[in-house]
Amino acid sequence: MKLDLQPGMLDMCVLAMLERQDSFAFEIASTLVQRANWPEGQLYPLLRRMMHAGWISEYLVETDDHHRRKYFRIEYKGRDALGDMRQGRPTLAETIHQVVWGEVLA
Amino acid sequence: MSRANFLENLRKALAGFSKRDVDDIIADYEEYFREAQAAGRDELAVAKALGAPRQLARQLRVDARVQAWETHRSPSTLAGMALSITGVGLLNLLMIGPIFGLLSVIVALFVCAFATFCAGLGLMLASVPSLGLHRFIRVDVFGTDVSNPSAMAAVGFALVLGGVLWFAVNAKVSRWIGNAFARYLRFNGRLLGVDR
Repeated sequence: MKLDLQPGMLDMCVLAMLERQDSFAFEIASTLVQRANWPEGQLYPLLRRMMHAGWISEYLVETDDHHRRKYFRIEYKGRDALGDMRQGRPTLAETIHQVVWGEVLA
Repeated sequence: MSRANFLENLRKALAGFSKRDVDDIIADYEEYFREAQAAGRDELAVAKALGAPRQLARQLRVDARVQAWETHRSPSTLAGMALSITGVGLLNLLMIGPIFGLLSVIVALFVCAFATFCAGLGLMLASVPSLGLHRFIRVDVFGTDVSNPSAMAAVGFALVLGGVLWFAVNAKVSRWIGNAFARYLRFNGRLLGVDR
């Protein structure tokens, strides 16, 4: 089953991925596309906005076949923002559980 | 749309961006196509998934204008930010009315502040008898002439002060409105009419 991702959840997902390890656009996109109906075209504009906000930074790496690959790294501000997002949002599982069973998960 | 077409259209749609930015953005999408095709995806499908180049360029332009406002808060960057959303999508057509209404209100408030300042300045100048301005600038209240120099000077001074204060308040308010607008634009994918 694929989930429909809300626009506001994209930044949280991308930050969470970058928190685990530095990554490049196609890798981020493939991971999210496998799990969600996600408009891929939004990724670069989103990454640029995050760059400007100081949440992430970028660096270029040359691949084995001599092509440019742009990696993104999460910064302190990004970790802070991710922390705030995690605090402020119940997980999808919690929300569904609440609605379907009318109770809150411990 | 083929990869070559996509990149060509995107480059065209990015007119107005600096060469450095255009090259960086194009290189990003070239990289994306390369990686996707290496992973076995069809270039036509990739181009479709990425969306319309013109739409992408519009979104990047809105973001750039928001960034310009956040780097340097001035009337021109505020207007630039407001103008950038005009071409973004049908949803924003509905937003244009309120946004330009708000901008007009800001402009009107500044005009009022300026007029108050000028009126005060005029009164203060008229209160100096040797300038002879009191012959043209008079103050009458319900037909009674109250153009006495010290009263005119005092009221003039108060108006000048009021005008300056009002100007400062307006600057603060429009800055606040601009910031709220920028925040709204920044992470609002739906407002930007991103088609899925």
